[in-house]
Amino acid sequence: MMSSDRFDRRLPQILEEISLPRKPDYFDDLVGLSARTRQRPAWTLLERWLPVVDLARQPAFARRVPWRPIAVLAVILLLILATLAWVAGSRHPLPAPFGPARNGLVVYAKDGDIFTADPLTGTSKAIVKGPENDINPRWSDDGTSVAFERVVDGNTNDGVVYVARADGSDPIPVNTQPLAGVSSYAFSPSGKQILITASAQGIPSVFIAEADGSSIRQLDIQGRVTDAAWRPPDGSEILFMDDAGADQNGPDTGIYALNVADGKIRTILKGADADGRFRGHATWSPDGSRIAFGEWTDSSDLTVQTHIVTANGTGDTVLPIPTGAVWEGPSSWSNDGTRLLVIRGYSGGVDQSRPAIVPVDGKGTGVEIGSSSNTGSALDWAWAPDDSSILGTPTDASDNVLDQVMLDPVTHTSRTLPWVSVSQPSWQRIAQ
Amino acid sequence: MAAPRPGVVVDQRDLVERAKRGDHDAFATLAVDAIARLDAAARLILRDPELARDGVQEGYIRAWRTLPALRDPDKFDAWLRRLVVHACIDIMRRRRHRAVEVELTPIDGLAGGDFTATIADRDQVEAALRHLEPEWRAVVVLHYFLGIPLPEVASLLGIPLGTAKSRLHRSILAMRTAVGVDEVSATASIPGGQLA
Repeated sequence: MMSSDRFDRRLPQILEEISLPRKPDYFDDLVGLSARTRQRPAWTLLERWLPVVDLARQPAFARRVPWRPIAVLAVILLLILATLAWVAGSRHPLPAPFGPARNGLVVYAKDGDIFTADPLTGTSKAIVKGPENDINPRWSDDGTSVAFERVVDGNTNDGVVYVARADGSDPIPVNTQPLAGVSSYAFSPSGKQILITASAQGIPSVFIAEADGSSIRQLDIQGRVTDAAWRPPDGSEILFMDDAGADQNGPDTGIYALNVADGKIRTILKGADADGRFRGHATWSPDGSRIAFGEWTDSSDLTVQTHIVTANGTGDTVLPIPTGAVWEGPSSWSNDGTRLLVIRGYSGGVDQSRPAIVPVDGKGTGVEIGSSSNTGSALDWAWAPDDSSILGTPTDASDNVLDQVMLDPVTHTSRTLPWVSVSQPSWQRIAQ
Repeated sequence: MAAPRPGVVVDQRDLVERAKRGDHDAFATLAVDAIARLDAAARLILRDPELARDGVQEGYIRAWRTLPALRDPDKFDAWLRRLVVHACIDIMRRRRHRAVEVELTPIDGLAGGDFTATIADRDQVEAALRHLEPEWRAVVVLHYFLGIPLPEVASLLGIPLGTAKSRLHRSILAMRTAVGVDEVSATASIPGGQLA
């Protein structure tokens, strides 16, 4: 009788013999089909909008930790800290859930550690450091907590989302089982939950995790979910897009909102891909009353324009673009809800793109800020809480991360900041 | 495995860059290089030539459409493989209700003595493979046929590494049982040192 070792050794060869790899007879049809299919412009793809992250660093394996005594100490420490936090909280009120606030620190990732930086002084400080590979920090709306992803040992596609205090202390994992392909996460307006977009069985899906790590659940949404975001100011709904239209491989077209309480989904804008119209990058206004998104037609004359609709999908306002521009996508709302930072392109790619500040009422094409050569390929921007400046994470033509850039929405100038980030910009809100 | 030839790497990188800019001929050249193995993998996973064709086609079209977003041209092969595997998994998910329960008992009349490379041997393995649940079969094919390390297999399938290890172990156990392998000498090791 054959040994199991021999069976295992022979298995790859037997699989070859079973499958007989060969060029399939449908190859020519496949090539013809792809030739008739249009490529999507780079900017419309979610991946282009995600930060460049340094995943090359391999974290070391952690030593086994004596959890029980640590847990007892942690409980005692938590009680002390809770008391201190209550005292501190009574002295420092939290910012309003939306609208302008006072500027705090910028949080960013570099070399697998999490830093905060003061944009006024340019000084940076590591708040989470160590052998682990930590990426993509995000502030909570009240500026008291930071969420970040810790890449799982030996597998750079799996991660665990942690929530820590503003100074990086007491990090708590919110998903005990690593999630594959974590692409985004955001605190709920209350700060008590985290909305995570990650892969489930290879399908982009949405999860809600309690910020204290007590539970996590996957939302019952069919299809590939993108652009998931809490609706401000109370987080009662979750906006999302999907590509469940006529072409499941194609761009996202429909815009929907899921009621967090009962799980019911309402259609804000139904898919329009059957009409040759596609949409992307839907974002809530700061007060949750409007939604901005990019819409384009699948034709040789690519024209992408920013649309703004009410929360129920009515009152479509198309923001005008100047002559020569071929695409424009919304990136970030000002906190007062009157302006949008958009990315505007003059070619099909991102090589001739620049940020522009445009009024959301559709009156005019706004002002482009392109004087600085290193703002051209920056796609990720965040307004300062007081709307006095806009922070961007630029990359060069080879996707190398450059120094952070600050735009001035009044003087329409830009300047570089003395730190490099590999994460999307995130700015702490403080009560005014 | 032979080391990659520098010239080939450069050529493929150039092809990928051209395809990213919309050069369909370059994409066709890239496509033909990989399709034999990916088609075979799809057939092994889905056990249906028509479904495999759908999976490969879906993965390739998705690759062409989204190619401008590929940041690192050197990762084209792994990226294309991922898209095709995901397309096959999508198909598996849509057809999950037809999944076959795992059969852990030997298949009548197929247990043999010495395991030689005969048609009968292949038939035994093929029959055993067919009896596996699709998700389990995918782990076996990705690991043993495409040579993907288990952590990456777990990532591709969106499952924890422990689950991937468990599925592989139980799949191999089921296949050994089905073809009448001597379990006394079974070891817990995964061949090829591909766990790291």
